[in-house]
Amino acid sequence: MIQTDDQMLIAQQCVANLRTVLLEARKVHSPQDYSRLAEPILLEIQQRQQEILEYLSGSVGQRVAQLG
Amino acid sequence: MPAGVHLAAWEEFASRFGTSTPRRIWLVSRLRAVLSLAASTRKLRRVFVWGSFVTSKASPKDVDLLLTLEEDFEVEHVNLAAQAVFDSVLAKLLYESDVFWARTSIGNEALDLWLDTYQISRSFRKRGIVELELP
Repeated sequence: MIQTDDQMLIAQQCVANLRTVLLEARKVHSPQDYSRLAEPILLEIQQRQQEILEYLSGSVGQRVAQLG
Repeated sequence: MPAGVHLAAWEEFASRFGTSTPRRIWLVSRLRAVLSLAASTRKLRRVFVWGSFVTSKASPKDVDLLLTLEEDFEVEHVNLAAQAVFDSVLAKLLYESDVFWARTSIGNEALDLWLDTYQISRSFRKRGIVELELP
């Protein structure tokens, strides 16, 4: 779970990295193979984006209360 | 394990991470099966392992690994048993492994980004990755 702004930025960077991997992968694989290899990466991106959205959905005050 | 990519021979790796508990003995047997099938394609180039299996945790949930394969690798050209390794759902069910894979032609830059990403745990700690030496 993301607990700080720094962690959220790291999570965003991880999502960006995985997007770049997919952009490169789709250039060098057949459509069928790309679908196969992309599946777990897309799931990973989805999970990380969900965590980012959950973090951003709370105000700073709410976060402080949760951590306290 | 410190952050970074650490090269290890299979014997050293299996001895360190695949012997201490029944769960680890089982998972290393699953990993051995995955790697045997991947090697049977004759296209396997590099193998990276990360996640709870390469920690001191007694009962890891699964094995996370990335395989890179030669530029002309295509799943439909390998035998059915080996095809399961490259299907994320089947690999999880049959081998308790999260198998990521790609041709080497994705390039070193993309591979480095991939490895950088998995050196950060879900709790945002830097962690190490093992690269297995291939025979």
